[in-house]
Amino acid sequence: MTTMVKSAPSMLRRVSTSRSRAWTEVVVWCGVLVLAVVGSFLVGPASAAIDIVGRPLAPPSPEHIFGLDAYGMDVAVRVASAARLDIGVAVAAGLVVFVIAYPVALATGFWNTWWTKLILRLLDVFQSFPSIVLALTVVALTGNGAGNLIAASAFVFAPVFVRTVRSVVLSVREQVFVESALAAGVPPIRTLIRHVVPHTIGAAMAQTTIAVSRTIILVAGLSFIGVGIQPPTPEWGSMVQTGVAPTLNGAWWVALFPGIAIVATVMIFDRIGTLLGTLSLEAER
Amino acid sequence: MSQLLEIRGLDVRRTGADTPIVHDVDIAVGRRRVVGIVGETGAGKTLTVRAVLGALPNGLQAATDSASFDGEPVANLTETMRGLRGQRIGVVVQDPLGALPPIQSVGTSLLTILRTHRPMPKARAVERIKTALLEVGLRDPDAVMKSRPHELSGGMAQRVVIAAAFMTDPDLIVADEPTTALDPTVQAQILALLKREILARDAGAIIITHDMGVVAQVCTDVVVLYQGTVREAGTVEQVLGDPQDPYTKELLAALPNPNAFGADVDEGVHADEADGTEATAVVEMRDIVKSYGRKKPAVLKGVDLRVPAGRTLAIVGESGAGKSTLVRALLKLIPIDSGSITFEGTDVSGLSQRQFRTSRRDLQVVYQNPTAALNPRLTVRALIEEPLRTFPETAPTAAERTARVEELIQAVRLDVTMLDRYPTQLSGGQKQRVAIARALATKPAVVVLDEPTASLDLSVRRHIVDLLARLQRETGVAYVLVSHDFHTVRSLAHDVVVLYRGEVAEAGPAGAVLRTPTHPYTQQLLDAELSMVPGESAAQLDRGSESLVGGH
Repeated sequence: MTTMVKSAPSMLRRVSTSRSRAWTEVVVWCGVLVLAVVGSFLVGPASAAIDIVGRPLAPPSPEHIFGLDAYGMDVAVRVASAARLDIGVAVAAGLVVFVIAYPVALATGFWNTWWTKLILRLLDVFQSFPSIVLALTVVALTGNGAGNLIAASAFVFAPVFVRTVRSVVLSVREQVFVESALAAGVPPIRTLIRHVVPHTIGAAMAQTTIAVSRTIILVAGLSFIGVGIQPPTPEWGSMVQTGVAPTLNGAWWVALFPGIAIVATVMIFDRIGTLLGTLSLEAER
Repeated sequence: MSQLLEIRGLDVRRTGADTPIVHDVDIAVGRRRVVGIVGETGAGKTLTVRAVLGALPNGLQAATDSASFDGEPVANLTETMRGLRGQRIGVVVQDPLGALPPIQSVGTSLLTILRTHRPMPKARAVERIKTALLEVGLRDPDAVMKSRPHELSGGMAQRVVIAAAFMTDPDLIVADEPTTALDPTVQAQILALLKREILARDAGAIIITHDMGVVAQVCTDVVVLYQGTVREAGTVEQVLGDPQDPYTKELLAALPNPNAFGADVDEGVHADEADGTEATAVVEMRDIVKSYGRKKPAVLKGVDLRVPAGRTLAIVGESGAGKSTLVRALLKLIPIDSGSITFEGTDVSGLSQRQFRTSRRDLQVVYQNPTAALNPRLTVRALIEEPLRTFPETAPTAAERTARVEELIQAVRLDVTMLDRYPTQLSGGQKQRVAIARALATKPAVVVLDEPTASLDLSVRRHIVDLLARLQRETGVAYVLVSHDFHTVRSLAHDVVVLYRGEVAEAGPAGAVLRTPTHPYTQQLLDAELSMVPGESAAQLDRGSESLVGGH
């Protein structure tokens, strides 16, 4: 027994070093995202992004490092300036998903009654449509402002969130310490908050991050096909779209740089999601 | 005489670490010898054996002064043993369900194992598996091969795993706690089977166990491990008959000793045996019927029980007898089909969860496995405080709560400094003490003890049993004790209910039921208890193996 006690601190230390490394990485990536958003304000007011600064389709040069687009607007300024919109819409959608879907996931995982089944069947219906079709419908019905895009994305990604996080809640619900609390007389809601939330919040945060990264792709996709954010407002998806024709004529810089921005942002959010997921899994051990 | 396996000076250490976790262990196994490796959790039993099997977890490495297998010197233990495993070494694992993939039939799994180690045509392999299954007492090998692991009972699954270990005709069998997960009645049969197969095949064996009863029963030699080093080793007659090391003596003292039964009764715990019927019942269950699903057979078929205030009612029976279902019904964690539950004079069978919640203050529970029952994210203080916060009238102010928590932690003989630790920082016995403190926090009238000692080491069990007995004397709480450990039952119970297949086989005062059982099943349960003295239960073992041959 003493061996167990002796080895416990060294084991804790081993886990905590890898945990603190993962947390550091999460903080670094969040810092990068914050910098991107702050930077988008630093490049100038919104109008700067639609200033025509030179000859259309001028290639990258020392003054305009990403070149100019078909209207003569600076691609670098536009890519930087779009960050607050793309990242902002995605994070807002993620928060909406978390605030609405996490309680639903907790409730449907904790209780099993008629309304649980009703909610789950409703989610099945929404999940049976491809996300882009569902989002298109919402945008068609409500219009294409940033607020509507947030609503559409949240609507599309909440069911996936509920499904995934609910499965985690279900497994925690089966833990003896949950039954132990209920048997001790702890009211169900308090049991849920004190015993289930701490063991599922990590998974919920990981799923939120995934919803955010999917929203970036969805919003960019909607804007690319012309039903999202409208030009000349800087937005990565619509910028890629305006770059399609120039690219065919050799002006590759118009579409490439916003494309890289989309890929990089999605990868960063996915990485954060993976790290949070691993951290929450490890905490369960 | 040349040994089958001989290992001298085995060290196991974490890669790069200086101090070994297992140090200087010698193991020698001859043919027709069974070596028992005993010790508590954390003593290094499993690591030792995994080193012998060349199956250490990543990050650990083994070193030996010398090693040989069947007369051949072994240079690289890990490499060589990895090659021999499955070929000449058969392994019986502790958790048979974990060893059999749940998604395929038992037959498919066994075929894969057999044909990996002994390439042969499928038809011949199937024949060989059937023979192996018949030899371990499974009468219908075709049905077993077609089933999925979860469709087998614990005893059947363990037999399948034993058949898997023996079907390649190994020279050495290694078994890690082969019977820990099983009922006492099944345990005896499985041990008899293991011993018979080992002798019949002229093989040798290493058995890991924390149970000296198992050692007395099947082993010829024993190695006592403590904190990774050998404390005592020798033949079973030497070590058990005349233990030299104080730790071995302690392990032996912790054994349930059927002869000590009378002494326990005289100690006063059961002195008031006659009063039981007159004391007011705090819980009464009448004609409880419960089945899981309409088409399933009933798990409880009209069970009655009565718990007098301040006394202990033990519910015994093998797994599947309905013990857990019965206490879960009593705790109102599952609905019952029919019957009535009276709690402190009120019929509560019809109450909703919400209505019953206030009564839970007087009805608390201690679970089998404290590691699972204590939320790892909460401190000991928060865990003990939770029931007090749930029923604020028990300790209305923060100061009273703190005082009560400190009083409770001292009552279970833990230090106040433990309050700010997390469960993972405590040992199993300490965790169970915390669980007991939590259960007693609201000064309940009844505490359900669901196998309170089953997950604990033998030497710790006795302390927990003593603690529970003392707390009952001090607080006057009534216990409903579920257990298949007769030592725990003997020490605590005033009354006993024997459950058999969902019905009460026998009920009455503990002394009468346990001393002079009338129902054949109670007799069988008591018989199954492993005797201490080597060889004494040989007759019982033979009976076990006969019933196996008879396909019982």
